Amino acid sequence: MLMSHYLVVAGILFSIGMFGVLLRRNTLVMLMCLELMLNAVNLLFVAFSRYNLNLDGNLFVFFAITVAAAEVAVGLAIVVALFKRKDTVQVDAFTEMKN
Amino acid sequence: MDIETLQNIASTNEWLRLWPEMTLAVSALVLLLLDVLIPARLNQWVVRTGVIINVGLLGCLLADLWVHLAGDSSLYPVGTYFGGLIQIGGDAAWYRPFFVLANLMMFWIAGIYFRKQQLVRTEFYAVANIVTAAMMLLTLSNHFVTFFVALETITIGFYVLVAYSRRSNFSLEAGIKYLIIGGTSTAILMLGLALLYGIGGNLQLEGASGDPLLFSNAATFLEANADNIITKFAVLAILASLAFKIGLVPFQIWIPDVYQGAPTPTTSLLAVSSKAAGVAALLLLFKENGAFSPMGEFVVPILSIVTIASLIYGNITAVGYTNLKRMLGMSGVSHAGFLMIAALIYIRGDGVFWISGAILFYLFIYLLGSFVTFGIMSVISGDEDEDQDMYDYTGLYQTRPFQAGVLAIGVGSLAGIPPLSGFIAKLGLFMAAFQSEMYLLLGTAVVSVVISIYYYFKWIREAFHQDTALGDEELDNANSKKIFAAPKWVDATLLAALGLSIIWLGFFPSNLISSWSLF
Repeated sequence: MLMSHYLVVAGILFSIGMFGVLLRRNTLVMLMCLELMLNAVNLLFVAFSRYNLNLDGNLFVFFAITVAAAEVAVGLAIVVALFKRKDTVQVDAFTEMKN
Repeated sequence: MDIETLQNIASTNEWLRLWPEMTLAVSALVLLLLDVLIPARLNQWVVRTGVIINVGLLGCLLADLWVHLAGDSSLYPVGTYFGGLIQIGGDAAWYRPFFVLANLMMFWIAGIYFRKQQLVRTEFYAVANIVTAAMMLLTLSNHFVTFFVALETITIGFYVLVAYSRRSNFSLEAGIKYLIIGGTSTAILMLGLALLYGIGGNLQLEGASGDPLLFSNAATFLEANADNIITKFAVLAILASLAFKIGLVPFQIWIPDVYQGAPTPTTSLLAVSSKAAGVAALLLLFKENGAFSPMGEFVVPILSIVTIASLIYGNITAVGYTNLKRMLGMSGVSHAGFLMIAALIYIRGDGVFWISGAILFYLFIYLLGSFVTFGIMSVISGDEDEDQDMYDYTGLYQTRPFQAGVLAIGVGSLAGIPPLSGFIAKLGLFMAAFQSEMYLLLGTAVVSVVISIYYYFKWIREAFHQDTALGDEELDNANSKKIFAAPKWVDATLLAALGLSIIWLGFFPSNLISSWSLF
């Protein structure tokens, strides 16, 4: 496979994630879309790492996965706490703050 | 890689160079451990241990700074460690005590906050310590891996701190908003890093190297490929994540809601430390021979537009808010704009040699002014932390003249009124902008100072005046309804000390400035 194949797949995944965060109304789906973006970048790192014959990209992916895991742990905790109070995870319910 | 290379790299792992960061991180674990081990009646000693560790660390860091300023290189070795991941030297010696001081001030505000809320305490201080350690690490980073890990530790720590008040809808709502927007900025940062890694490691290109994420290698590569569209995109993506941290205009969407919903100590840490960490990281990237220094010509016009937008948008939006935490958030956007003027002069690097000192002075004065203001706010607010309105302060002067006076000093310093030190800090930036002939930015900054005086003084006016339309009897009724709590002696002492230092630095700034060889 060519490098460009990986680039295109990563680009498509990243765009799906980005538009998901922007357009979807369900907090859980938005968190999944965040993960999709991070995984698109991970794919990019691994592909570049193979293409450049250089292992640093693989190493970076370990850090990225750790960060993503921590982020999702905190995110799910917040979503669970919100669900307990509001019985919904739709963002439309989270509009209490205004001036 | 043969065994000798690995041994050489391993020999640069001097862990003792990271003693302040390690102290803070270990102290976070110690606090959590103490919380379990200590019997419940001695529970307050857990937090006190945290305060003692931080005070001790601040003292050691100031001594460290003094040694650094004395210029004895045998005591303060400057260099890169951990195979190039960490670089000790430069402004990090200033930023380390700055972050610890902000952490201590946040401890004080958290103490007032937790007296009014039914929440577990220890975890808050533990996470705050880790966030502060990560900020210090960020200013030392010399490789984009360190940069990324430190930045993400800060961000994820802040998700926890923002959503900390689990019984408050507002805090949780702020938490999820911050998480989703922050997560997007993380993804954009990683995309930028991946592209930089991919293109900088492509050995067919000039200046490419095996480790393009090392700052010096990135600088070499960007120098040779400054016009490449992918490198430009990568640089902008990485800068966007910093702009999110600093709160500059296209990335300021999260600020009002998160500032309002977060617990007040978190808000103060977001306002001061997070902004300072972003600015410090920006200066780190653009310092002489820094990673992005060859891209200066490309980013200056873009950052100038961002700066002007931040100054104007931040101030005009703040005028409309009467919720104080929202207002301070948007005024923070305009303060970020002021800092960006200085950062732009720094990036252009045309001769104003004292500009990094002026940035530090501005950050320090901003720290004092912010913490005075947030201190007064936490003393006065009730248990509804997110609902702190400007009009709650009506008649404060008549019942609590001391608090009203300190509030006027803090807010006046944020607005930049002479003779308070906020004026000197702004003056330094304006002089720098004048010297490097950035007249458009200077003009925008002056106009935005005028706008900011309007909303800052609306607050002071509420605190000092009563509604004169009411008769005497109604006035007495209105006053008796408002009971402003008296501060405890610790809070009063700290407020007085902060207020006095703001006035003192306004009259005698040379004591600080001369050590930065500012003028």
